[in-house]
Amino acid sequence: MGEKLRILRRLPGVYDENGRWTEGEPTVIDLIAVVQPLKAHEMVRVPEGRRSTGTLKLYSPTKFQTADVKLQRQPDRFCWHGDEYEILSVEDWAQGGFYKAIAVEVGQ
Amino acid sequence: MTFDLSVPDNLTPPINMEDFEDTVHSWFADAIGLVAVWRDMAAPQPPYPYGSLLITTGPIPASPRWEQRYTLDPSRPEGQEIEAEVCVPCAIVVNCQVYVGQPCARGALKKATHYLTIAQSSLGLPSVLQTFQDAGIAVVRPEAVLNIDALIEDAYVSRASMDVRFAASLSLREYLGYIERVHAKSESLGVDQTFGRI
Repeated sequence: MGEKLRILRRLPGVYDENGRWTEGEPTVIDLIAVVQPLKAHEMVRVPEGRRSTGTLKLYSPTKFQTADVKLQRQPDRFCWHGDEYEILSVEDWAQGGFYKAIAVEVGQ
Repeated sequence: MTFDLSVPDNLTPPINMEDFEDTVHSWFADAIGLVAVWRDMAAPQPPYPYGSLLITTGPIPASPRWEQRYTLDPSRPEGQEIEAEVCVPCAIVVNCQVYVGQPCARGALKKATHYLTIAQSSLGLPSVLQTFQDAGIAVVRPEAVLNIDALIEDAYVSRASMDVRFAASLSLREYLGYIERVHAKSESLGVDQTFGRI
């Protein structure tokens, strides 16, 4: 029922001595998740031009990672049907055996 | 229509913004005594308390008419004998902010405005001005410290903002090519001669 997703997960990054953010090293994690559209994939009109946006919900026995201040980490990213998404929020339903996450499309 | 900008080392920046940022960051971090970062919307927020910087305006050329300088050096490679350099003073406005979470922000000396007041005053210290001067930067003036306290989601955060206007200079060079020959002709003077490469 689920599908295989390849997650790009970054190790914690740091602000360098001049105050600029430096990303942590990327790692790849394969997991199984049920992916469903949460909101229609729609066009957004902004002064810079047209672009699209989409939102997904995911269910997986593996915990997703969101942005975190204390750990200075970035959210998980993954590709789905040719578009790139990042995890916006995670609900911990581990007692029920799964995690629910919301992901939003990033990029152009 | 195309512009033939024969700029040495194509796209040489007219100002080294990295050096500018590093100097401003060094001052700000030392003045507030907190972690200071360049605002990056795609990066995680540092834990409170911390300060942030953002270039909000600039460079603003101080004059529409740039000073022009020309140097002639026939020994340079062909086409690069004449170099033109244009330069102008410019202004750059940096927005400085400080954020202090609760309960650390309780007390007049712990609020975000307090940290910016120190940073603002430090811009009058000779040692600070000298450091900026050594980096080719002048401090024009700090603006007012603004209280921008806010409820961020469900937590009160002491926040303050201040613009600082700096001055620096922009300069850019290009090669104007070389006049290979000039032909002079005058019947009254009896001149009909070509000068330069023939």
